[in-house]
Amino acid sequence: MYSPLVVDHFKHPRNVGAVAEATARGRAANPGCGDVVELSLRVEEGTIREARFRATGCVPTIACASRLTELILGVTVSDALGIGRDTLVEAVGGVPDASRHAAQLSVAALRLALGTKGGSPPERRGREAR
Amino acid sequence: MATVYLDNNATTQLLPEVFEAIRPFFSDRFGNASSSTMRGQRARGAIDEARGQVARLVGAAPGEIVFTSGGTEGDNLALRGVISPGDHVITCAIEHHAILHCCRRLQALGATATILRVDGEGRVDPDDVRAALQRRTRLISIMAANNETGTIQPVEEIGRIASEAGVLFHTDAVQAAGKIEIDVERVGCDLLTLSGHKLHAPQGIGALYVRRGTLLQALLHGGPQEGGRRAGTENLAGIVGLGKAAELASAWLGDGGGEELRALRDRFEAEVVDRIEEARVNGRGAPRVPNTSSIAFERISGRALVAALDLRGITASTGSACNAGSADPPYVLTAMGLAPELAHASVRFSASKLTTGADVAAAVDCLAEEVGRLRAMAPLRTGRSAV
Repeated sequence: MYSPLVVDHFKHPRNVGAVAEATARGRAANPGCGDVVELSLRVEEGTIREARFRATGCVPTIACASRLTELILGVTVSDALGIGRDTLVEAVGGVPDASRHAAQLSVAALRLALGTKGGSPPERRGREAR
Repeated sequence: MATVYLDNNATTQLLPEVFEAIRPFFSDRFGNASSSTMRGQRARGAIDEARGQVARLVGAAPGEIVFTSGGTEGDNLALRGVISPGDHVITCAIEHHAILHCCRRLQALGATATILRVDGEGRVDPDDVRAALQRRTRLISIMAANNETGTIQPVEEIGRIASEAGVLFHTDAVQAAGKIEIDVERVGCDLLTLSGHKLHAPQGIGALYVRRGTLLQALLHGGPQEGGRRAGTENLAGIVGLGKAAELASAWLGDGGGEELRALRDRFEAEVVDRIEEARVNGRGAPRVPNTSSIAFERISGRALVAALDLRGITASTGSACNAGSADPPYVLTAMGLAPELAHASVRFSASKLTTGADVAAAVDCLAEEVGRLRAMAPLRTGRSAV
C-alpha cells in the first residue's frame, strides 16, 4: 500500500512539464524497469527558482519526482544537493522497500542537473545507503 | 466508487451458484470420502459427481480426472510424473512458470529440454515441434492458451505430431478451459491441466486429465486417494465447487456465451484503439480466447496505468512487478518480439461472463483519460539517457 501522500502526488502531480528557460536539466533512466525522470530547473544566484519534471514510471517514481520539485523550490543549490534518497522517501510519507530506487532516480536526475553526475556530494557521502 | 473487474486471468469471482453448491460441505455435509461411514460415502458421492462434471467439460471419462490443488500442481504432476533423468521434453518460451521452472528443475535432475520460440503473435510453429523431436523425447508440453495475450496454440496439430511420434502430449489449459471448447480427443492430448479459480470455482482446487493407460508417477505419496496418483484427503468443498463451475461453464459455452464475450472483448479493443493513439493489441493476428486483451500504450508505464485505473476502481494487470528497481518486462511479450519499452507499456484486460457492456464502456472512458494524463507527464521523445 502506498502512503496517502504518494497517492496524492501520483493522482495530482505538481510542476509537470519543462521550465521554459531552464538553466539546468537532468535526465535519469533505470534500464532495469524502464522508468525515466527528467528535471528542468531555473537557477538564479545559487537558488532554484523554478523546477518542473516529466516522468514515465511506476507510482513511486512519479510521486517522488513530483515531491522533489516542491522540496527544491526556493532552495539553494547546496541545500538541494543535500537531499538524498532517504530524505525524499521520508518526504513522500514512505514507499515500499522494493520501490526506494524510485526516489534514487529523481535524486540522480537532480544531481545530474546540478552537475554532480549522480553522486553524493563529498560532505554527504556515506549518509545515505544506496 | 463503481468497480470493474478486468483481471479474470488472474482469478475469477466465485459464481453464486458455485457458492451455494459448496456451502453445505462447510457445515452439515462435511465428511472424509475415504470413510466407509454413511457420511463418508455421501462425501464420496459428491466427489464422484464433480469428477463427472469436470470430465464432461473436456470430453474425458470421469476416471481420467485427478483432482489437484490447482494449475501449478497439475503442471508439475504432468511433467514430473512422466519425465525421468535422461528424458527430453519440448515446450515453448511463453509457457507459465509452472511449466518453465518445472522444466528447469527437471534439467537439474538430468533431463533435457527444448524451449521453442514463438512468432510475433505468440504462436508456436508445429513444424518447430516436429523438428525438435529427439530419440529421447518423452513429452511435449504446449499450453492451450496464453495467460498474457490469450493466444490459442495449434494444439490439435501438435497433438497429431505427438501421436505420430509416440510421444506424450500435455497441454496447460488453465486459461482455455471454460472459455473455449476443449475436447481431449480432438486435441489428442494425454495430459491436460485445469485450475478451478480461473473458471469461477474456489482457489486451491484444480484437476489434471490423465488419459487412460498413461503411466504417471505421483508427486505426493500417502493414502490411496485419486487412484494413487495424488495422495491426501480430498478438498471436498473445492472439488464440489470445481464440478459445479465446470457444469456451468459447459452450459455457458453451449449457449454461445463464448461468442457473446468475444463480441464484448472485440468492441472493447476497437474502442480503445479508436480513442487512444498509439495503442496496439498484442497478438491481435492470432486466434485468441474470447476474454483477453493485451494492449501496449506507447510512452507510458503499464504499471502506472494499472495503478491509475485501480485508484478509479478498475482492476487490470501487467505481467511485470517491480522489485528493487528491477522489473523485467513481461517475458511472454518479449518472447513475441516486443521491444522492452512496449512490453513495459502493456496492460492485460481479462473479462469474464460476469463482465457487462457498461463495465467495458466505463473502462474505456477511464483508460482514455488516464493514458492521456500519464502521457502528458511523460518525457518527450527526444531525450538522451544520462544514467
